[in-house]
Amino acid sequence: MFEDMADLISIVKKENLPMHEIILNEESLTTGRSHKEILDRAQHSLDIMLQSLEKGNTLDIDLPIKEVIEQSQHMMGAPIFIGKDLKEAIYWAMSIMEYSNGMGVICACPTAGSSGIFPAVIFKAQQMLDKSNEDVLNAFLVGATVGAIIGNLASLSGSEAGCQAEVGVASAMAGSAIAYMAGGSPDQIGQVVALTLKNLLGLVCDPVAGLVISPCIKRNAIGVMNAFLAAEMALSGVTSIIPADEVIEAMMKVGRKLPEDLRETGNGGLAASPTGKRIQRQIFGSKDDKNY
Amino acid sequence: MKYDSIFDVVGRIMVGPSSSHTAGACRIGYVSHIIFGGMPLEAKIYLHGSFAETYRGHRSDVAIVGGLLGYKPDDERIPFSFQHAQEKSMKFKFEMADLGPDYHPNSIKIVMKTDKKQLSIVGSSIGGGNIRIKEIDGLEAGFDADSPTIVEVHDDIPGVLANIASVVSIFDINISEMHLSRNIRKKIAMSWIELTKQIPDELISALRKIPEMKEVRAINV
Repeated sequence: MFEDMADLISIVKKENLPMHEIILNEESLTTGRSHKEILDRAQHSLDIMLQSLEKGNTLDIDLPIKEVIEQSQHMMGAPIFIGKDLKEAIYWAMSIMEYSNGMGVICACPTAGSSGIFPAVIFKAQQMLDKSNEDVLNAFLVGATVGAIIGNLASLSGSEAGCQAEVGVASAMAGSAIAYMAGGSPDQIGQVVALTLKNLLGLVCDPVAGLVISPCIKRNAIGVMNAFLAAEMALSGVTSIIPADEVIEAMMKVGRKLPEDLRETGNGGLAASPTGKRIQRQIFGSKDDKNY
Repeated sequence: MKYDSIFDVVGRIMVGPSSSHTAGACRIGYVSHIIFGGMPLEAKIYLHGSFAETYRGHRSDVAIVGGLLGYKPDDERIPFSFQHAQEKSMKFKFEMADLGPDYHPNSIKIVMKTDKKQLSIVGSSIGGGNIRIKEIDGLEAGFDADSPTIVEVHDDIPGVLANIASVVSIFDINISEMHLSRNIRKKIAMSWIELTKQIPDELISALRKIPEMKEVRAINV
């Protein structure tokens, strides 16, 4: 795996090959798998993502927090501010998260709690840019590599570094993938990583009742918007003052400083709000009625 | 490096909603199913720590029962596991338990029975869908079932391990890890062997022919 974003970008420039080919070679070298095996496995992940997207809006899903049932459906209405395409991408991301909570089969990316962002963004971008399935596959490789680099330098776990490490990283993976799909340069891919992570730096993990529902489902929506936003900015020529690798390092340092209450324990932030506590009591009741 | 491959980051395909509390819980049930040698007729499942606190919301109970039926974490039948268990006459009961401070906060103890045999397993879900099997029938274990693993119980006498290793070598498979755990009073030992390749049925049959061997199971992943 590449050391950091600077390492990936410099190898791509030096070898003068498309980024996805550099990634295929590296993956093949470290895992001993052939290019075909790698691409087949990536395609399988994409197939599962597409299935979860398609099935997400067809199932009658029962969730333990009644207030969030079918919230995604509201995003199917006519757009007001953000345009039909992005509104639909948000609907997809939310419905995948609902599907996951209804025990649907999903592909964790990088985690189950942030699994709506990557599929929603990458398949919407494919539709908007009229790209082939092969383009999507190549973009997948770029996004996944960005996730692995961040995971190695920082974290992919809400219990370690807060939601910035889940929704934040998913957003960086999705944004870099679609920037690549749109023909972005290696430097622009790096800019997307910096911009996405900066925007969600410090995001805490405070799930109500410890479940992957509130605020997780709606945070997948900001992950989608953030991915499109950063890709649009970077492709338009906006650059981050702080380089991607320094943002990743800052993210880990911020994560380490987050108190335990704000790292997936369900004891702080929104989980500790009066409504959050009420919902927790409603679901889990008192300690006495747990046996059945 | 924590992540050598892109598929460590994208590609864990699973039934939601939680990698640790749903996928990990199912895997502990699934490995228990294999080590028991099939579906139990009766299972008592003790939930420890965080599992006891939040199992309902994460459907950990549904996932564990699915695993005990032999479903893997990405099996679409998992949501219907309670109903399937009833159809197949598998009884199960959940209890909250404090297994003690030595166990990971996400731990489960499963006691499985048929009219002929009984077996208990303790497993922990350590995050991201990864698990660790900690105990089998009171004998200390410590494998994660991420690579093909043979688990076997044999008489605790000298030379058995050498026999096992030589049988494995005949099949031209590399052993990546091998561990042994003994119960001196009962004069039995358990070993688990992690391999670099899928475990063929012929290898398991060959291992069963070792005279001191009591039980052999293969976890292919």
